[in-house]
Amino acid sequence: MNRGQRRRHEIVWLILAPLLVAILVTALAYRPDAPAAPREAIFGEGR
Amino acid sequence: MSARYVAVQWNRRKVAYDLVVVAAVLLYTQVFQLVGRRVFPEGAEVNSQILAMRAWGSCAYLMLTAILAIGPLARLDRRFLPILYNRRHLGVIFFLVALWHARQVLGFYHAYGPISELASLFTYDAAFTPSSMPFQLFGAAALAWFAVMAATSHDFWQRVMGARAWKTLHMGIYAAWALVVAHVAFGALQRDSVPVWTGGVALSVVVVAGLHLLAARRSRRPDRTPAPERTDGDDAWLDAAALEDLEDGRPLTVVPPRGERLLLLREGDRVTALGAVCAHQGGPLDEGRVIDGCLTCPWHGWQYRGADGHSPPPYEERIPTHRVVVREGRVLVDPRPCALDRPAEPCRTTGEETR
Repeated sequence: MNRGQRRRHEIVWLILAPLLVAILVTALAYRPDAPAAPREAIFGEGR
Repeated sequence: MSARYVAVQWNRRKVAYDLVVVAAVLLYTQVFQLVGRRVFPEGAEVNSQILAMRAWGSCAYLMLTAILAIGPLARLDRRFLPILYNRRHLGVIFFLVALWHARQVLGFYHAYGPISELASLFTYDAAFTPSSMPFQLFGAAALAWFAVMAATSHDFWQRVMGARAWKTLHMGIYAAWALVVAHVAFGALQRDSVPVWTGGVALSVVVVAGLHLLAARRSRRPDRTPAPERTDGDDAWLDAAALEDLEDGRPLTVVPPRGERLLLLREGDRVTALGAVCAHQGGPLDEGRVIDGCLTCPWHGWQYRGADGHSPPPYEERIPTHRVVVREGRVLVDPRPCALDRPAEPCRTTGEETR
């Protein structure tokens, strides 16, 4: 890798790491209380 | 490394590698479904089709995690370099596994309505709230990116696009990975409270991100301590190293104050200075080693002669050479590269000091 690629690589991960942690924490924090089956979540009940 | 392009260059090791990967994929997905049927008996909420989807989906996730971890592991510890070999084949097989997972999802959740499967995927009513995100679209977007990467993985496309554009395109794997994590987090993790899934995904994020940050920090560290400059008449030289610090056949990194890294290579009584960026994908030649008399890139095995920076025939790649002198036990390097077709003469360490 050249000098610019090394710098960009570090910057990308300094942004990506907290972003991924935020995605995970958000998804788990907003987990529905009564999870629906995936098919019902998409089509609604009775379909 | 190839002098001309063929669709895929096979050899015994590549065939064996691919067969092992395919066998591991089949074994994993079958074992997953066998165990799943015991945990979720027929008639439960999770039926055999959903189990198959999860088997192939989780297999693709594990493969992607491994693919992303291989690079920084090899940078942090040379013992991992052999598993870097053939990583592109692993990437293409991963894409096919992910594609099969997507095919199963479309066939199960989107095949029974009046509109086409793809139209159903992109138009189903999902609100953008933290507890109801369109997680399937995240997966679809990531899969589209992986399709582009798989289609352009051959060196032919790198030559057509240019190394920099090709590398930038393939760096998009990190964004695609973020989409996959969102796909899994807002999909499987929100709908199923299975601690193993949650812990596994969280661990994969910490490991992959942590390894990349560690490797990035370590690879940038030498940039902060460039070699000091010395002037000799009108010429400026880099005071690169003590001659006694050069080990035979083992490149030594030289960081100039400006420009790209160089390397010093001692082969017997001959010392040469070469550019440290591989002509193939910008791999770190200063982390390579001498194999069959040629400096070999640790990433994909591209080779260069130490004497002139040329790849051995029939290959035609070249890396720049730099003038070297030895003065009072110190190795001095001219930071300006010589023209590719007029490589610098190697410096002999025996007898009179030469330039």
